[in-house]
Amino acid sequence: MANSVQEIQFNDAASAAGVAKVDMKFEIVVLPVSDVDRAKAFYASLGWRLDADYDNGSDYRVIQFTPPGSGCSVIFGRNVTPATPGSAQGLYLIVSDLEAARKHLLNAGIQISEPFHGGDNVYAGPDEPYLFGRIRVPGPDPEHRSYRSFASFRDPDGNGWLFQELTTRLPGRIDAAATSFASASDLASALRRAEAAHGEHEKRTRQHDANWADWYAAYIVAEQSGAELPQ
Amino acid sequence: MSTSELPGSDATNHAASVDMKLEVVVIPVSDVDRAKQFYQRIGWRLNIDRSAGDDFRLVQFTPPGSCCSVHFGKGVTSAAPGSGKSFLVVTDIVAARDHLVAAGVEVGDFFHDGPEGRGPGLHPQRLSYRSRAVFNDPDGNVWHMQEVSVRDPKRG
Repeated sequence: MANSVQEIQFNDAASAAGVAKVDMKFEIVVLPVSDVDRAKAFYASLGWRLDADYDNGSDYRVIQFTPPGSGCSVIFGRNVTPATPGSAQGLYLIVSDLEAARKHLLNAGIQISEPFHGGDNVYAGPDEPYLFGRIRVPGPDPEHRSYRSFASFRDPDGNGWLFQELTTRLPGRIDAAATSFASASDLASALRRAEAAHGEHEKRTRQHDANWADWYAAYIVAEQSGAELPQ
Repeated sequence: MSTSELPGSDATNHAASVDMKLEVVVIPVSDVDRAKQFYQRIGWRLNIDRSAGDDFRLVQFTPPGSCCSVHFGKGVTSAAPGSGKSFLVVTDIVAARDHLVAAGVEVGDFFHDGPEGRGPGLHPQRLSYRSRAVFNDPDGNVWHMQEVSVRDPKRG
């Protein structure tokens, strides 16, 4: 049953056959907001990095924020989009530890939903649309599988954000097999997961493994490339 | 736990300790197959095409070199089709525009932001961040291409 919701994989050759590649990095999403200063205060309180606040003194202002560790930013301001304030929905923030991310928002005084996960093989329902359908079952995914646990929050205009917990990437979702970390905290959480898995490994083999470094490294590389995790 | 280990007590410091990577943006489309063809045609990588019953379909594409992806489909957003607006960063906007035109996409003329405001054509000195061109997907979701050759260190 679980297999029926497995991702369909595509390789590069199949999807981009015959098309020359020109890098186009998706780096900015425009958020429609009604009150620029209020939105600025909100995104600053999330701990996002303020990259720019440009005001031409009359009819145009643009503010750019980048979430920690992210390669994609948001902009908003005055006369930057005709879209209705609050109409941006389905903005996914990938976190490695959903509970830590939720606590962080709560500490900053921001309302966020309880963790939820999708209904098994049921995709249509009464809830707001999100990546894994429209049935929100309370609590994180019982097995804490990668991609399966969510929480949602809104900015003051109602633009809708989702946290999605990812610990292991599926193959095909990243361009190269390179293992990289955007920040020290990102690397630290990968090390903690490797440490926990290594503890299980030692329990299974009933012996102390002095060469933990190679084991951690193999584990972390496998997590990012989506290869089978060492046991 | 990781938050309490941070030095300093100001809210921003605490706040910055949890990575949250903006990796997926849902764009509203009316015709999923038409949109899928379009994004395939311009060379984006198809990551997912999955449906469940008649009410749910999810398609994910990633632009080449990008760490942020788009989703569209059925039952994935309530926003009005075509209301998305986003920016794609390219290192050579002429090559990127040629590439799209060769794929049969209508792309607007170059324009730039200069000291006197917005003007036609590429930025005369090709300054980083200044040259633009715009295209739409079949539903009218807007993609602004922006040429960034040298990064502003403040913007990461």
